[in-house]
Amino acid sequence: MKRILPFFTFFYSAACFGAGNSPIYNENDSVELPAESLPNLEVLSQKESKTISSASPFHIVDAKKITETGITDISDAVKRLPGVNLRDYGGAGGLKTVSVRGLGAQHTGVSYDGVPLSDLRSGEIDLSRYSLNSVSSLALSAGDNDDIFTPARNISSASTLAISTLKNPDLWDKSLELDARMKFGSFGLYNPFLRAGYSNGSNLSVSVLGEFFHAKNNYPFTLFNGDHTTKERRSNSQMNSVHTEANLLFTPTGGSSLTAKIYYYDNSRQLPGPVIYYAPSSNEHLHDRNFFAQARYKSKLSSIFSLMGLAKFNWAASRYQDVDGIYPDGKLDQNYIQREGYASAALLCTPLAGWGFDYSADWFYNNLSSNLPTDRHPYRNSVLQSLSAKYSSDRFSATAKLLYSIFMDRAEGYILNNQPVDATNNNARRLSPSVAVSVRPVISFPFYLRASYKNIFRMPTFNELYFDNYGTISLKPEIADQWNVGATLSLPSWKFIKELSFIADGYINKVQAKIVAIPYNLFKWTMTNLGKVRIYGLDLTLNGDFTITSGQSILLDASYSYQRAQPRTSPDMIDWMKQIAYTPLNSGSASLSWINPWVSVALHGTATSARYTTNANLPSTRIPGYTDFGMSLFRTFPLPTGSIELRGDLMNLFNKQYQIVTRYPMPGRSWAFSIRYNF
Amino acid sequence: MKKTFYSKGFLANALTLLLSVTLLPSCSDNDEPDNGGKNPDPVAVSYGTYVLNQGQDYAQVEGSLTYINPADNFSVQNNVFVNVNKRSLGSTPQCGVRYGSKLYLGICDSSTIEIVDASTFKSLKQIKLDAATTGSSPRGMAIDNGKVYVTMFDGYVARLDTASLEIDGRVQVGPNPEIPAVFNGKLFVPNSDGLNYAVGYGETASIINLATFTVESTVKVPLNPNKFLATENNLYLLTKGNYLDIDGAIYEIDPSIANLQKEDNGDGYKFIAEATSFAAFGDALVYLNTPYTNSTLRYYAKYDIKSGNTTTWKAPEVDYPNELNVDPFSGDIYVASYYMDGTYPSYILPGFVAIYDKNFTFKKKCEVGSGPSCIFF
Repeated sequence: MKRILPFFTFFYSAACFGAGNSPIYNENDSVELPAESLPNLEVLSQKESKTISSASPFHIVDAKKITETGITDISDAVKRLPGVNLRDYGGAGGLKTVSVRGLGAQHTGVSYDGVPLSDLRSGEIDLSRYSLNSVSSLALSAGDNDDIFTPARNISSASTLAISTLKNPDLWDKSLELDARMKFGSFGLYNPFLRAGYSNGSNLSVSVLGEFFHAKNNYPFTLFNGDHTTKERRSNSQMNSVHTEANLLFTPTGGSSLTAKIYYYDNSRQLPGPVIYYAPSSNEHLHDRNFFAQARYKSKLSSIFSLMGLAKFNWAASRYQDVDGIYPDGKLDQNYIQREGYASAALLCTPLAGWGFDYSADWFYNNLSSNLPTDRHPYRNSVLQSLSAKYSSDRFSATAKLLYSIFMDRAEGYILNNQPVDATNNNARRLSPSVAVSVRPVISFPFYLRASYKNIFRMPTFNELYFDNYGTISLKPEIADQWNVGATLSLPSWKFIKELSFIADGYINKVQAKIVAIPYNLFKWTMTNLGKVRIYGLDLTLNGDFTITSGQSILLDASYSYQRAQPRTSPDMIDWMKQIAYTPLNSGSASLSWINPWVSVALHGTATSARYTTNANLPSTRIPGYTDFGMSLFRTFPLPTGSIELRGDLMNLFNKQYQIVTRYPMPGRSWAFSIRYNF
Repeated sequence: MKKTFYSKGFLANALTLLLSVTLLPSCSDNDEPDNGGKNPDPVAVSYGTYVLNQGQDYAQVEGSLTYINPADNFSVQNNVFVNVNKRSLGSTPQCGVRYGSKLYLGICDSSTIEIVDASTFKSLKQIKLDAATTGSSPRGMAIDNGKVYVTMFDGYVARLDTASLEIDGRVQVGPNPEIPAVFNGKLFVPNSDGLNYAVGYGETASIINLATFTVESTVKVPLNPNKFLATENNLYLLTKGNYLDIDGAIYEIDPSIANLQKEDNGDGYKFIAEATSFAAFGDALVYLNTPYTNSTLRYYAKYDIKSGNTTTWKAPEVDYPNELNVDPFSGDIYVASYYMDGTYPSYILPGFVAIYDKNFTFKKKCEVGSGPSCIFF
């Protein structure tokens, strides 16, 4: 395992800046910069405490928890969090998107080491692209994070999933690190991973990693068709992906740091498509490639001011092919390329103890081109500015943020159906406030009451605006209001209880001007801002860590979510006050782990109530609820140099057949075995 | 929908909607009994009325077969195929005909043809289509002289022998052939090129000589041909326009043009009326129009072939008409409709069929499955 020492990390996304009763930043750390997370034991507990002290809902899953609770991939980690609704098309190659508190996946921002990922074509991030091997933590914020020293773009989503990757070797200790892993599993899965890190012992630390992932994904499923039950297998489902990264950490002076990352991902996968009765196998294929380079510079200018600068270039290609005689020339071949340039600057001012102010300004440029005859080559310039203030004392903390966003779109003219369509410009601007407060009534007792409000929006995606004659260029932003009240409690250590915490949050979300497709007439559908949705829900979380004897402990994690997501567009519509499609009313997860010196065991499960595939909730469109249990066994063997970790996972222990998305069966019982050596 | 595209969120919906609207208006027009030619079989008897409902497979709304019995005050039996056979009809049933005592149903996304007993609804045979030997994704059917001709959306016409219940040949047509008709010993196949919509729809029809089962000629027709319809002496074509600014229309086709061996004859088509669905009964065409350029207009009319006169009629019982057909035995007019969901038609909810007599008097409303889009007798 990685040595854990108090020093600043490569990345800041899981920042603990200003958390609750902690100071705005840690004065005790000579090199520490504001808003850097501290991966030491204290900070691990601080991270835990951030979930308790945060004024807005915040949940984090770190590498330790990933190991100890038997998490098998990123989507498994995410679906155990409260309020999350994962849409999963099944198997390793199946698209996985995450919606938080009923707002839809397009309202979930995903950041990778603090810098937002983007897909302006669909507005959704596919989590199946990101590997758990390189993850050090996953943090989910509903509403705003307490951190104020961030790019303006990081507060531009209704909720944010922050993926933080492994940290570079520590600077002060000249060292070479190696992490080699191999994973095998059912359905042709193998996944070698290699990472090397080097620190020069003073001011430079680098790491490189590479991994390959192969899976056939030809898992069996049972097809029910009336009285007929047949055993089938997913076919045309194979995937091969490569992921490489290089990371750099450089501290030219004691008060400043430069971090940089180069990332490349290449995934060539077959798409099995939905299960269609009697139909032959799919011929669909998708090839995704993504390259980005990002760098961030942070400097403590004086005792009052700190500066952060950020730059990123992103290139993403997606090529979809389908061989079928119905298409012109017998083949559909769509190639999309997106590019992004991004720059951000943030200035933090901490004039008085307990007070912090931040001004952040972001600019980003995105474009999309394709080989479609209807390509409009849309591009968007976005300018986001935020002004944030935070006050924090032992008893009370409050954060207020104001985001001002300007978007300027242009799409070129093109020929549709032999008719010219003019070039269009489309601009939008909005002011979005948010506020969050947290109170600790009794200083000696870690019990908090919290309340927050955030007004936010999402811009229409390029698809919604410009796709063929289907997009609508006059679309406006979709607006979401989020209210949350909650209470958190963390019991002090007592006898065998090492940690025991409870979190309860109730929320109301309102979506206005929701972008929905409506049939202008039978043959022409169009996108409008007609929809309205109201969601209210409850999230409960329990985390416990109980010591049995030295070296043995029991971990218990559980969460429960109630989510009522009502379409409220018009009482004349059949979906009025029903439940939004694919949103379970009840869902929950639990894990129980016995950590011991021999073979540690984790049992875990998720449960989801029935859902409907239609907003109209027609009885025939009901998908039954399901439970999915798993088990993990793991042990670490210390070696003279480094250690070896062995791990076995059993997924879907009871071989339950279920589907999250209709016609996309999920895998039944499967296993994985992994071995890891690192020093 | 045949395919679900990889951006499962927005793009899937976008393309699903787009393709389903492209695929929707497809149905066989064989309202002639048994022998399917221009001379109705004098001994043919009515079996009743069959309605194929497309469903919306991506939303888990299955397609289905509905039976309406005119002899029993239009009593309705929904889901007759799955109720009898205890298995699904398949994804997106799109075309069907009755030939003698059997039904031939084309299931587009499942790429199957179900041969079903017309009285008991028991499946006699399921033919699994494949691109290599038969063509796949059936779209339209016509019957003639012991054969069922099935257009396949991947560019073929397959010939199904009704004695052996085997596909015994195919010819290449297309792109994207739609609903054919038999006239003067020839099969007229409209090629919509519908999946090439971004570039522009097709403007050709393939004419197949049924004696040799070869394409005799490919002729030019108005934009986006969708459905041929033969009456005793005339051949008609319904086009779908471009779903933007060009509306669908009915044309009368000069049979001599149809015999031409070249592709570029744009003359010889007589515009009859703007329409989105039509059927023939005796010396009349009955049609309806819900133009793309006017989402609120509903227009129902009858065109007298001999006099050229047009009579309009009203169908206030219909919410959002999708397809129309005329019972060749009684002259009753069946209009399939969606229900409205607020101000827009719902493609999820079960639809209905409104029945009118030959004088346009409303007779009955029958609740059917979701997306009723093909009515045959």
